Amino acid sequence: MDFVYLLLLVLLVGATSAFLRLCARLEPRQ
Amino acid sequence: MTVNGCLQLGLYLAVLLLLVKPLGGYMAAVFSDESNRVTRVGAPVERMLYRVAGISPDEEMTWTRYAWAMLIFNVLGLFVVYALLRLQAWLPLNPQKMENVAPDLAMNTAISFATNTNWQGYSGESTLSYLTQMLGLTVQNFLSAATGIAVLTAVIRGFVRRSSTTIGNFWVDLTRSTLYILLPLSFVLAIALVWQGVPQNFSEYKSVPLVEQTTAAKTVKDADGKDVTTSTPVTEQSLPLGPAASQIAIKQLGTNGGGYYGANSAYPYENPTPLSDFLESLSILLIPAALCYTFGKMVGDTRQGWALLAAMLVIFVPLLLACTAAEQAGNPALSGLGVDQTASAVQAGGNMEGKETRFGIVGSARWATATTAASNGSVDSMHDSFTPLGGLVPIWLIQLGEVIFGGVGSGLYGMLAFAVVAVFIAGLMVGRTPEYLGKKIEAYEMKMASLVVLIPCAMVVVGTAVVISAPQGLALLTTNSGVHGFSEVLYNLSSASNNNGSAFGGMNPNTPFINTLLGICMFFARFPLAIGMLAIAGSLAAKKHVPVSAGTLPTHTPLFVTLLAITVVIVGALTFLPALALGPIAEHLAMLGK
Repeated sequence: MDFVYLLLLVLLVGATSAFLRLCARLEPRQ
Repeated sequence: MTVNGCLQLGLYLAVLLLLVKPLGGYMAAVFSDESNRVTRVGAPVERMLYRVAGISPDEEMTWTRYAWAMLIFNVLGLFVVYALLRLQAWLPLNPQKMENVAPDLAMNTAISFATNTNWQGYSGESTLSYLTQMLGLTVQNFLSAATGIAVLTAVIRGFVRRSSTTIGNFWVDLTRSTLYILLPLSFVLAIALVWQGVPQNFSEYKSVPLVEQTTAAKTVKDADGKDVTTSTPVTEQSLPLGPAASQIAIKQLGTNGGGYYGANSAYPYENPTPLSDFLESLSILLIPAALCYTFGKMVGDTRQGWALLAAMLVIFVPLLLACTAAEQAGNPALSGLGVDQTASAVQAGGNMEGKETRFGIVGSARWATATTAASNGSVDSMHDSFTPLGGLVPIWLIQLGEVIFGGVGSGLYGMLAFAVVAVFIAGLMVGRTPEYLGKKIEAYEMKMASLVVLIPCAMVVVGTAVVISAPQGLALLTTNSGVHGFSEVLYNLSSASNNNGSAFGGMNPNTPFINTLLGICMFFARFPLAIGMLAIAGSLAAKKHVPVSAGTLPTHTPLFVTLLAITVVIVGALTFLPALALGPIAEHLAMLGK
């Protein structure tokens, strides 16, 4: 069962990393 | 409300406000770019830590680098806690021979402590080894709180800096938060708690004879499958000991809230006396309140900090009084049965169900309001037993987004997101580009602020809907159904989705279904919000300063305080009033109708 919950944690981290990249991409150039 | 009650609440608020300026000024010195008396004292230790960790303290970070450092550091901590929980049976400092924690509960607990939520689906004294409590949970209490302060510091730099591509160094902010703020304050509070009777040792649990013997009833099936109740005499009690005071001090100061014992600060060893109750409840709001002054000091105008604190108090004080009054008024249905609920010299009066007699109505209501205004989540009474209106106050305070004081750092950066929304609304009213602290608020900042405000709201309503729609969710309601059962679900989802961590009770907190759902809510309530605020910081830091003009909305005046408070309340009211109507409001009306 460890595999299932570790995979879930990896997915949560992956989604948050994608959100970070998206925020960076949306940032307007000053 | 009684005169005694008013005096207790007045004293609490007075002591809190008296400490705001000295502590806030001290924290501003800690994060100052220039060397000062505070940072010179700790400089040797600080330098040694940087050398050991290979950190260059003068290296500045862009907001994306800062966010990556924050995310990677916290995720690594999360995996360390997960490993400790899964391996504790084979690790040292486990005199009670605690088993390894199940994977779903380990995942939930690891996320809970890494995100400063400290939701607990277990009882510490019957589940965790001393090593897990100290190396896993207490360390995360410090680091998650320090992360919140670090992110806030970076956000403040975003407002202060002009045409800058950087917002500070995450490792320096994290180290300074821990070294200069959290460790010294926790040390002082832990000593005070030991003085009041909280354990701090590595002893095995002690078995002592009961002063008054009792019996334990147990129902088992006999050979024919019929229920047979057996009665066993109980002559001894097990007293759980361990390094409690050190964990309790930081769980209060760091707005973590995860108790050493399952009953949290209602347990006599965690909170033995009225004085320890006062100190612990004061510690909940101390750093979040003082950070408002730190903010004002760092942006060069302390009026800005006082204005944010005023907006918090405008919401907090009426809700504190409402909760205390509702609990002191008691239950009208019980009055009809001839139960005396008036306060007197021999009883606290009011609704004392689920409350400790040593804290009474005021101590319990004060704690419930403070712990949910801040994202602390510790309890000294059972919120599930509050009157419907008394219980509505903590639910709604959580749902307001944990910005009325909120978590250390995270509360104030959440409030700054609301401030961005408030100046934007004001800008729309007068047709001018909104500004806050000399920085133009444009589309990008508004998008990020909106996400920060709305992500927790969405998770509360969607999560609650999932629980009450799924059979696995309804099965969690083991003691109450109907409107009170709905309030339990709403409270617990609100708690996890806003990183509070307190529980309404009555709902089974430990099944794979709820551990997974709440784990997801806690994770997304923390890191995307911090990233959104760092994005705002990076964008603002790159902008030029806009001089004050006739069209600038002053953000230190009572008008802005009112606008900000109304913005927070309207978002909370519009989002959650329908759900609250199905829970505590319906329960209150049903109680009056009985």
